[in-house]
Amino acid sequence: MGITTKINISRDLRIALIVLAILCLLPLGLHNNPYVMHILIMCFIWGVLASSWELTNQYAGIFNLAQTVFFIAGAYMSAMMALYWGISPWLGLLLGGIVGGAVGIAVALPSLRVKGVYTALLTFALTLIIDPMIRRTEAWGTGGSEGLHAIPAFQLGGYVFTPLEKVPPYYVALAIFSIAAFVLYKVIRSRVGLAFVALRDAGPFAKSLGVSEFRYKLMAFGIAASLSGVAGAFYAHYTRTLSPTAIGLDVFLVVLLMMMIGGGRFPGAIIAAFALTFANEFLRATGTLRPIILGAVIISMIVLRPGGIMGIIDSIRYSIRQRASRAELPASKSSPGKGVG
Amino acid sequence: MAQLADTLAGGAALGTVYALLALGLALIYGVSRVFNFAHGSFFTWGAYLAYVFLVRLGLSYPATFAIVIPIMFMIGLLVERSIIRPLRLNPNFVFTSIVATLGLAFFMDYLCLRTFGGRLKALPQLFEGSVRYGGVVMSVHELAIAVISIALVVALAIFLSRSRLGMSMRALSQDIFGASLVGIYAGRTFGYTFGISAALAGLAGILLSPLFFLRPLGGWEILAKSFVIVAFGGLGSMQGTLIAAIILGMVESLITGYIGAVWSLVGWFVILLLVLIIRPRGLFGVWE
Repeated sequence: MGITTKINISRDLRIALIVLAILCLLPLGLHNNPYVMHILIMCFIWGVLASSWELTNQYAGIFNLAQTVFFIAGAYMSAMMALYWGISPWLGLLLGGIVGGAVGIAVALPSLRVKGVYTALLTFALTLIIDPMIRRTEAWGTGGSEGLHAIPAFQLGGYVFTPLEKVPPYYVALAIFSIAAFVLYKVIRSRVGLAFVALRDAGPFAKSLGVSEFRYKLMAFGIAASLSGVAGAFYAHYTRTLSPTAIGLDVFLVVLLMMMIGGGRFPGAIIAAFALTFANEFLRATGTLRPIILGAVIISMIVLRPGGIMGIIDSIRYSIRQRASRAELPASKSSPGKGVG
Repeated sequence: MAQLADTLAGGAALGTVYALLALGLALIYGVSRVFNFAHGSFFTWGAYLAYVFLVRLGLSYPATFAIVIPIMFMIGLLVERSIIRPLRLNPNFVFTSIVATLGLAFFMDYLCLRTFGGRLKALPQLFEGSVRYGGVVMSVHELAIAVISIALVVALAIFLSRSRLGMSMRALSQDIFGASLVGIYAGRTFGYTFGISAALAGLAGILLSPLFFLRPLGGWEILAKSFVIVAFGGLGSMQGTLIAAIILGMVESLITGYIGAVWSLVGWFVILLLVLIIRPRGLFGVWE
């Protein structure tokens, strides 16, 4: 799962703009279908969460299993600020990012002191106790087991985003998603991203060259956690209700799967988030059979397709290229150009 | 004072069963480098299988043990063979195996939920009644599970140090490549390791279910507790694991008895945090 060092910005940019254009125009085709719009909005939220998770686990090589905690921290902070102090949800997005990032740093400090599986252990334990913690802290205004309800929605001028009208939140979600994807892309392609990969693939060597492991891993945690915090804040003001049951262990598992099935390279987790969110919705009709099917899919995916979605894309691309070069070969042997290598 | 002693004794008994769980988790990790997230699900399955044979079919406890433990062993073997072994060639093995076992846990837990429903179920106790020794009162069931668990821990220790298979396991835990060179079948031994671990977890499920309830999704808590014990005792040290498990079992009993059951998981986490901050390699552990 090496990372491609050859950067083809113009191609990436072209793909990104095409996808963005399609996503911008999509509501026109789906205007009267709030259900599909809702699923798409959830795809954006989980996409941000899964791909920022990908940054810490796949790029920086940290066994971080606490990503949903940052999401929950951002969501609760923004919701409680809006409920009790009347702070605008727009500001709440920023606040969610800051709080998510702060929690991320706080979690990173002990987690980075220990190694490998111990990190997984510590962060996973945090994920497990966040549920009972919320249920016990009703006195602090978290709503306990009952959860928080009637969280203020987004407002623009005098216009309040109602749950029935899905188009305005769709564009907000799309904006957050695009910005997050852009930030992640930039980080991955920058020297910082290179340092993550160097530390992951050749830790001692990278350190010998003066790459500070602690600093960069802390940075990875900080960036990933604040993006998840923003996604959490949006989730809170979009669904307008939060409870430990709604964002429980099953959300953790599904998003973890998105991150893993992606295949460890940048757009992978996002594609997986879209695929799994839709799959999850289609499977809703099967009731309790759904998690069983999901579990089976995960296992077979990991065993049969260890490269994940990016691996599948790579092999498709490879076979297309093969075919193209084979088709080209008899005609022009000397032509330099596409397809070879 | 007497109540405190009772609480501690009950907690220690609980702790010995936790030791079985933690040892199973540590065994798989030590020998085959797999962090088994489905460990709690093995626990749950053991308990539900026992429920089928004991309550639904009306068999006795000895018969149930004789049936359920081999079944759990086979399940462990099957899991290793069909899910873990194909992943072994993957360069990112540690991580992919974590996700595969997470998927497995998902699969097993919800299969349980679908088959048995969400209603809490209970198993009968191994033995009724209670014993008094000095000033301490303990139920016979608790005493029995402590005896069984400690006997098994000792048996496991002897097995690992004396038997051929046990020595192969230890060799593999030191160096997979080197062990393979001297003729140890790595794959087969990994399979047995999974089988033993699953059997231990299943057995722990049977022993603990009369004290708690059977819950289809209760395995996560067990997994978390096993984690904490392994971290506290230190990876790779059986005696550390046993001591850590007993201490933590007593702490859990104290929290449940004096503060409230809902805080027990938080207590576990605080302990984990303290251990990792003060002594990250655990009581008796060594960094690999």
